[in-house]
Amino acid sequence: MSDLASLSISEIRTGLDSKKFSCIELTKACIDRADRLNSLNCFTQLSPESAVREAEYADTLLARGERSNLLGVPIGIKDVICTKGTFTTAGSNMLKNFKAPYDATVVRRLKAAGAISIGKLNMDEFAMGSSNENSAFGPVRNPWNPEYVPGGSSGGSAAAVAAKICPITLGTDTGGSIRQPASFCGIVGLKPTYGRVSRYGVIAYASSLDQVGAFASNVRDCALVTKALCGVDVNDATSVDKEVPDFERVLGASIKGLRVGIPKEYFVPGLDSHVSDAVRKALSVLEELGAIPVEISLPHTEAAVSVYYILAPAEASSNLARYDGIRYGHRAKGSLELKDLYSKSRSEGFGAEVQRRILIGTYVLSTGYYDAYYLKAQKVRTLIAKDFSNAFAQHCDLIVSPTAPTTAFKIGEKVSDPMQMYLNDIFTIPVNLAGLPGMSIPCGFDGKGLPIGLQLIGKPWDEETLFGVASAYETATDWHTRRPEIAG
Amino acid sequence: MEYETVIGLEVHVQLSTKSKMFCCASALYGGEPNEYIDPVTLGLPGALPVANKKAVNFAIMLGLATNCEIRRFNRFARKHYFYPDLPKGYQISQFDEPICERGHVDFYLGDTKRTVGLKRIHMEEDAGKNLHDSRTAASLVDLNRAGVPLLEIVSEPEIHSPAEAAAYLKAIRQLVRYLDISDGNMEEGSFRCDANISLRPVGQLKFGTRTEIKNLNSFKFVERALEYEIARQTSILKAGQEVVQQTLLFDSGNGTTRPMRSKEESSDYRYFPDPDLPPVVVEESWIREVREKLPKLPAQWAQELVSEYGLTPYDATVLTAERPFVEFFREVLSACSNAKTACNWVTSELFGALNQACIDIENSPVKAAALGKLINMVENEEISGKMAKSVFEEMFATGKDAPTIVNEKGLKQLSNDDDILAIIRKEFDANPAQLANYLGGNERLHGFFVGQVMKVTGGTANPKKVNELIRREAESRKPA
Amino acid sequence: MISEDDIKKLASLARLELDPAFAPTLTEHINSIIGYMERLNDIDTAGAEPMSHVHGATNVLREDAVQPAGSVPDSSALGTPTISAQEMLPAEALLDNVPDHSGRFIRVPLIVE
Repeated sequence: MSDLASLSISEIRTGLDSKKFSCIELTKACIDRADRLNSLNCFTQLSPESAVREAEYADTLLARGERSNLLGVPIGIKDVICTKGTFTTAGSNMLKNFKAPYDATVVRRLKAAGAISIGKLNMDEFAMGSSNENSAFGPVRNPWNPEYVPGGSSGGSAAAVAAKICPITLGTDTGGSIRQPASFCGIVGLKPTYGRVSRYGVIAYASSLDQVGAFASNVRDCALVTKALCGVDVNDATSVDKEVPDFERVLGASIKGLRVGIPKEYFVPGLDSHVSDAVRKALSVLEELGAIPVEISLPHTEAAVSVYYILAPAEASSNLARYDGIRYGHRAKGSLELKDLYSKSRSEGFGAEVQRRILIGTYVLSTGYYDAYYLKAQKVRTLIAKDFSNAFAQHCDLIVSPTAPTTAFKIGEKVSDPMQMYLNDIFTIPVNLAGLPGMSIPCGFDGKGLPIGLQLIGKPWDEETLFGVASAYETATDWHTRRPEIAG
Repeated sequence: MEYETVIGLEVHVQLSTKSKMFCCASALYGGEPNEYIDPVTLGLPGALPVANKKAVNFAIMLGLATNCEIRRFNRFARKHYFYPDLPKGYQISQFDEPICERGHVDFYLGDTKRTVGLKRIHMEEDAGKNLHDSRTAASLVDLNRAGVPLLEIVSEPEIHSPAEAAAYLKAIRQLVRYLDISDGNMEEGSFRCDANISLRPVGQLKFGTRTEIKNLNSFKFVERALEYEIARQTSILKAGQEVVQQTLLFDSGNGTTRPMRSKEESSDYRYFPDPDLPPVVVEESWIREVREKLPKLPAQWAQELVSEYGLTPYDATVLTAERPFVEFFREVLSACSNAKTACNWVTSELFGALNQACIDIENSPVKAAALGKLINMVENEEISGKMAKSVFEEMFATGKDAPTIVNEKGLKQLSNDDDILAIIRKEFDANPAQLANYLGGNERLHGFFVGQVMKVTGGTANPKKVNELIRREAESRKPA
Repeated sequence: MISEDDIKKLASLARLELDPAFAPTLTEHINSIIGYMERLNDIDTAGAEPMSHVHGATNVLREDAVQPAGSVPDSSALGTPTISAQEMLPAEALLDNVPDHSGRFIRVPLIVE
């Protein structure tokens, strides 16, 4: 029954509701598959016992006739999201021994919707990275080719869905950490509008940019999970009290007359030709479906990477100050003076990339440099957001672009040059800076058989349009039906 | 050379909210170590702050009470430093956008009215507490206090003596207690003070190099520490040396200051707006709402007591020291009419008894209305002033009201002229020799007859009347 | 240019222990990153307000109420939960992860004030 793991939510729904298989069977199939594909290193830990317990409960509810979209659906959770009683490590040695005493709001929401958590997913340490090579648990491998990275920082989340280990996973996206791995792994990933989803219980990397979202192998599954995640939370003052539409409703609707913005700044010389071709082809598919392509300009695009790598490390240097080995987490051994205890614990606990970003963040916030870097970056951030709002106000209903300038690269290929690694996020970062919803859907393959992602960017709070367009495109194409060999 | 002292004070006032500044853990004092904690207090991964509306209200209240401008667009900022009692590695505070600015506090230093400017008042969260055990070379951290809301009140450097510093602090403490936004308890640390102090030659405009003294947890310590520091800096300057800018810790044990080791390293707090907390916009309507609910402040009360009730400024100061005092006094006045007498009763009899019994005025066994009634009985000559004092003692001891005690003990004053006259006549008749002597001009025998009447009436006769009627009766018996 | 010495100072401020062998490469990396950021200087930001919060929400405040420990039960029942309040946990559960403690206190090396 191992194929159960590769079912979509609607197939699971039919199977469970008609008692073709039980939730226990389904859950066990997912865990078996995760074990079998252990070499991909998707998980930091699997929790078979609690998953089976939750599955038993779901079976009881099903037997009682309870019905709900996510009831009994197995999910994986990025290890940056707190889950009560299990290790929540953020992919770091700092938190390898940390058992979260509480559930993040998104976990409470999914549990309440009846989803079954099968384990925690590998990631770049503290969500800092674009390749999942910065994990204390080792790199995650791309299911399409294990020599290649799955993208990051939610690499485990993307790889698990692409490898058909479970139908849906949660990730977080600060500068592209959902969309870029979704693109590299050939699946669907959505970062909702900033403020749509509660960040309470999500280990913060850069608070003004972080947002939780879902990975799935098709648009509908992604819509169902996103709906369950969204909503205001009194514990997160940055979550916004906006009505959450029924995203499922817009699936399959016509996109005729919809104006699709194509930012000229996103089609630059550095763009891989396979990627550029695939995106152009996708645009013509959308045009055939009735959409109207419009060339637009987002003039401050090039500045986004600089802005991001000032603001995100600044916030990170602050958010990560709490990891001092005093109340939880790694504490250095030996009798040490207080100051040495701090620096030893922190440098033993944090990996190289995290330390590098803490130092950059400390630098841009320090006296004498704040105005030149941090404040300047905040002002340019305003200009970047304005680029988008102007485009939406005058020219288009959504924006389409490549998700990343290239397809997945080889493990180890870019580790020695952090700046090259950072430039990987050039198309995804502006979306976070402007707080917009962004989605990546599969739109083709390169010459090496590696997937290419199409990015859809919406107006604030307009995830509906993204789901609508994605679903129309998905219906017209078959990229989402391709499976990596490893997934059988 | 003569030096002028320049002092600026930073006061930290803990607000008396039920919950903490940014989470719903209890803000109570005490408790078991680490009892009042939650994910936010402990700075757990993923925990997020949400600001307490009441604490913002309290900040606006104090701002209005100290004549500050209230900032419309407020942001919280993170202040970074590593310390075991600071769970997140940063304190949520306000940086260059404090909620209140440019106010002033008025108070009396002796008979002189003084005004000290306020630079700013800002909101922030408290740190936890570290206990030190040098025996085991360990410190122990208790986070109950971590996250309790604070207001930091920063004065201009406009204070010129330790006594003035203490008077200023008392005025601030009086205000926060009137506003009922803090208990102002220095022993429990809900009212704390750091002092910046420098000296400069008299006449010089430029400030001298300052030192900062921490750990001043009583008014007495503030004065003693400042006096010590003035003497120390004076002798340094007189010796032609330079004061080193540093942070000092006051040692109340020996009354001296010493440099703080933990402050030796230069700090860079790397403030930036907290992305977890959306800005707080204080609209004019919010300010109006707070202003309308503001209680009467001590200065307004004192003004009213002097102009409307004719009390002396001194009495007014004593009665307005605490809001419950003046409220009690007002209640006394609703039961009797003589403000001056009422003031004497409250400030001497009542305060004396409360002090001796260590009871707060709120828990006084003699309620304001009961005291008013007692004062009225004296005013109406139902009992004598002397009797009233013993009735008051009885009231204080038993909680009974004055008429009950007077009835029970038969203490009602004999004021009826005819009744008193009858007794006097009887005494005159019973003591013919003394009467003759008295009528002959021996004034000492006037006292004899007063004593006799008081003895016969058990002290209840109105002494004024007794005096008067003895003279009148004697006059009528003088041979023509 | 940020010198290796500057990096050491930043590391001390951030309480990180710098591996001397790694310091030169780190300095080089940070310089290349900071150098890249300096492109921002070419952008005219006159009139642009610094953005500290994204969507302009204000006054997201809570009422002054204490949540007693254990007051929000686990959400295991089916149905979309109203996330009304924080889950208040007993202090003991929160202190489970403390690496070194003495009774209910968190123990650290002696702090010299």
